[in-house]
Amino acid sequence: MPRSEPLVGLLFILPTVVLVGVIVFYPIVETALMSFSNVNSLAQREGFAGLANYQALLSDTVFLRVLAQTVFWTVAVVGITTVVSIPVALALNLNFHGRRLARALLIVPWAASLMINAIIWRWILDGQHSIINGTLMRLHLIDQPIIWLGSEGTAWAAIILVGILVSIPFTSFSLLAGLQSVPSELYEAAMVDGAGFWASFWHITLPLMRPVLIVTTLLNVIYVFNSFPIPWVLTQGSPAYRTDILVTYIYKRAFAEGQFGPAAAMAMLIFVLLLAFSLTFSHITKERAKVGIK
Amino acid sequence: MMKSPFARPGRRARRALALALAVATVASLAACGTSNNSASGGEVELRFLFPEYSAKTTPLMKTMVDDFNTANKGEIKVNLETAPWDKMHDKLAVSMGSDQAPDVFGYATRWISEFAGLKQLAPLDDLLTADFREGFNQKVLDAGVYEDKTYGLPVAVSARLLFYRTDVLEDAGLSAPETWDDLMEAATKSANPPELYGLGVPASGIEVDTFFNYFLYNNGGDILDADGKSMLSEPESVEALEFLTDLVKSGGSQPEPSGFTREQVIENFKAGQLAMYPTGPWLTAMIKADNPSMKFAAVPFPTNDGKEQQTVSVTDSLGMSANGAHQAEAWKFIEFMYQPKYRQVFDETEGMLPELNAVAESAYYQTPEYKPFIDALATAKFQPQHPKFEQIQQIETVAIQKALSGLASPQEALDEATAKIDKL
Repeated sequence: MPRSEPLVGLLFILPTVVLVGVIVFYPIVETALMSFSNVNSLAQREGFAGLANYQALLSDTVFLRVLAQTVFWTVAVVGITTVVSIPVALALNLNFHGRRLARALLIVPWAASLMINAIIWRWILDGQHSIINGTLMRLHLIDQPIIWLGSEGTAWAAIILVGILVSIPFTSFSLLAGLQSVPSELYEAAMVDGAGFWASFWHITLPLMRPVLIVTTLLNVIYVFNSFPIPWVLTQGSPAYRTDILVTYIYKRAFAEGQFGPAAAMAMLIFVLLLAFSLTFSHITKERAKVGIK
Repeated sequence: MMKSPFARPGRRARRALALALAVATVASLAACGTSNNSASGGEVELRFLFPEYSAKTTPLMKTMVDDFNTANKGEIKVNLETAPWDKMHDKLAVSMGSDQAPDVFGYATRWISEFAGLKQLAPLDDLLTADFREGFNQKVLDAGVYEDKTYGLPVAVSARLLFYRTDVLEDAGLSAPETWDDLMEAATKSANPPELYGLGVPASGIEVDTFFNYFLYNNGGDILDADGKSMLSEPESVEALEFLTDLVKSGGSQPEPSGFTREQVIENFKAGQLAMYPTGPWLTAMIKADNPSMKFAAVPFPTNDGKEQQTVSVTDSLGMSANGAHQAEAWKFIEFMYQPKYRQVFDETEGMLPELNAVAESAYYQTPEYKPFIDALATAKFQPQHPKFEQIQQIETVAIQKALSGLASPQEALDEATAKIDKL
């Protein structure tokens, strides 16, 4: 082969390298630099600040509260979504009339942008003249409208519900793809051995869906942890940061208050947290997969 | 070697393709960086960034810019850019931070101290001729003054009055509220939940602080003193928040105001589900478009008995970059824009109050709908200038949300806000 082959290869990937460099790596480097700098409200760095931005976070009680809320939100949405998506995927894997239509319908909310989904839900949940309140009142189940987004408890319930509804399509489709790769011979063999639905579910379906479950959970955790549109459109953290998650809090600190330094420190912290989570999670699941094979 | 329709191209072709890709990448990146300020044949190009107040803003400004470009053909060409209002601060901050600020731009007057402090705004006093200066409502023009220099000319002036449904208050045997006692009575007596609530109280989203300022200012309170220290823990401020909290608790508004944004409350008022809501003159046009049969009027916001009446007023400003290369041309454009005919059509279309006396005297603004707003400008109180005002607004908002949702007493919430503001 000619000697210039590696060079030609490099030239071919150059556009991608440049694009990824400009769009992905440059912002990460800039954010990292900001997190160690004094930053003015125009997001310009003005000298080294050491760990001051990080230290400020530790004394920021709002940050600690929001961090806890973010973990709660992520666990609730990803956990419930996964549990709900497994039966949805199983159902869609059955042969029934209208299966194609059912699959298509499930994709629709996924195709609409999250922002649009969230804005529609904001009006569905409106405290005074919404569809939900109107229906409940006409059915005489309530005699006063419920201000869903007015207090911490009901607001979180609403935000998490919407978060779950928009996460189900992606999750159940990934799981469906995993289900389709399970060879039907296994079920037939199990049936011959006298295994019922639950036995084959626990001993065949779940273990074989393991890889796809791991990947979807990992992706969902990252998406949901960083999901800006839903909490932002529904409550903007109202009342008093009680329904903020880290990304909405970062946005407020950076763009509403011009505090780019502490905001960058938080962004770096999220980056490290999610990176650590991904590595640990895939490490643990890999270990267990190995044991399983043995 | 396998030959297929997708066989690998020859070495030379491959190398040429790779090179072409690489060149294209570099070229397109370089294109991003070049300034579009390049003048062709002696024509000066100016960038003009203006916020969108409504869907009508862009066509409206484009007509004016086209007129200017035609009148100055071959000498000055203005390029209009518009952006949604709530993205303006980001957009300006980012462009200023990278030395790409537009030559002329609209912005919120409360940002003057921040932008002037960062040496991004050109002082306009030397450019303002006496004639030009006198054309303005002086009180409104003063809103753009910071540390004795005029940095912004008023654009999009509003004064906030209390809108109320005349039929609802008449049915309850009440007249327009003038004092806080009247307000409390009107809010609680006129309510017929869940179809109709008294006063609209939005405590989520934007302008939560502005809403509280109606009460704060009309109880003789203020956000900051002359040294920029918080006045939110003063007895007047605490009393104002206690009154608002009591009003909500007594059923004078929708319960749980934290569930309502300004946009929702405006929808509720337009739909006839609220008896009262304080806001700017644009609501008149919205009601006429969406619910023309509604009977309503607007009065100055009630004061706590005996206190001086203050009208919460907000202006946006038009300013010039301190670092623009063509300031003389930029100023020529600004003077052109402030011809009464352009301001008249802008103010009328966007539902704003006139910044020019000539427009205020026009028949349109002397009607019963607009006259009260023009008159109210006499008691106008504008937002304070503080380089960290955005942070102060956020802190004030959180305090109000805490008090209204019962997470803290008004005194506790405001003491916490004061501690935070004084640490900024």
